[in-house]
Amino acid sequence: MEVFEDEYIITLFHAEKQEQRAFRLLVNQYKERLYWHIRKILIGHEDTDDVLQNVFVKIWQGLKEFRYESKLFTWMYRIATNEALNFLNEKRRKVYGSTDEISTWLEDTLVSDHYFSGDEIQRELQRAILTLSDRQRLVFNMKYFDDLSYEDMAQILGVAVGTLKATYYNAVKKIEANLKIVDTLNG
Amino acid sequence: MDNFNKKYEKKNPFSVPDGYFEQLEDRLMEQVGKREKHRKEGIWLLVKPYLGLTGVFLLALFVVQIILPAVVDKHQMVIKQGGEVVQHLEITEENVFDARFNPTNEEIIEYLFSEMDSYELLYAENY
Repeated sequence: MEVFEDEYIITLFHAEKQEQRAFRLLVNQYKERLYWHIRKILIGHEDTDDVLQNVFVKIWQGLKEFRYESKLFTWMYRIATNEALNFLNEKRRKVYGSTDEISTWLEDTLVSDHYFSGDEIQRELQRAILTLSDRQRLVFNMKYFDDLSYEDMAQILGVAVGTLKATYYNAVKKIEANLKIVDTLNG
Repeated sequence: MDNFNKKYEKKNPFSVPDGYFEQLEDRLMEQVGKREKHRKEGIWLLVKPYLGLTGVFLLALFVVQIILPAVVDKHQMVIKQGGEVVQHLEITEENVFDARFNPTNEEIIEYLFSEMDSYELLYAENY
């Protein structure tokens, strides 16, 4: 797949009658990264698909005003993160009353989702990740799976680098402790 | 953390339906097109009543400012004194005043006699 510079896509988007073509390039370039980012937050494929569509609609609307106050990629990640967290908060507000219950719902989704191709060890890790708070989970996934730099994460989440490092450290400790318990239980 | 990485690897355990990413692009373009159309229609629906009101206002303004004064000027004469409108008169042959007309006393008496009929003259003579 040919990779285009963000600047090229934005310039093309602002050129006359080139919006659709530029947006197609953008979708093509970022659809998978944004999908997997949202999927790790929402776990289920269907919900991820719904939220991803909203994310791209918002990107389309916002792109007209985009003026490089941040990198295009971090800006899109921020939209995706906010949309996914809003979805969880809505679910929490409408269906469940507490964080614990949303974790249980996510765990059920993990078990029932048809599109989980990992082995039992991977499922164990995902279960342990689900015991974290939304923010810890977000930071852990972005650092561990997406390999994002703390600087980019700080831009996306609007949190200081030091705080992110501490959050990641605590998340790893919590996951390790959870997995140890599981290992002990499994003998 | 090293043991952790060794055991769990950084493998993505999730998957998607066959052909999902291939079709995603077209679906998203369709979605964006639909929402954009909906948004534009929404803006039009929002703006339409205001445009209607503005049109009516402009029409009223046109009638009051352009058409009415032209119609009024044809039928009315406005006598102004020091900028203040003091009297509106219907324009007819009879009430057009000519400032240069300055009749003598004889001319006035002659005019009055010509306007009076014989009964009025008899009545006037008795007094």
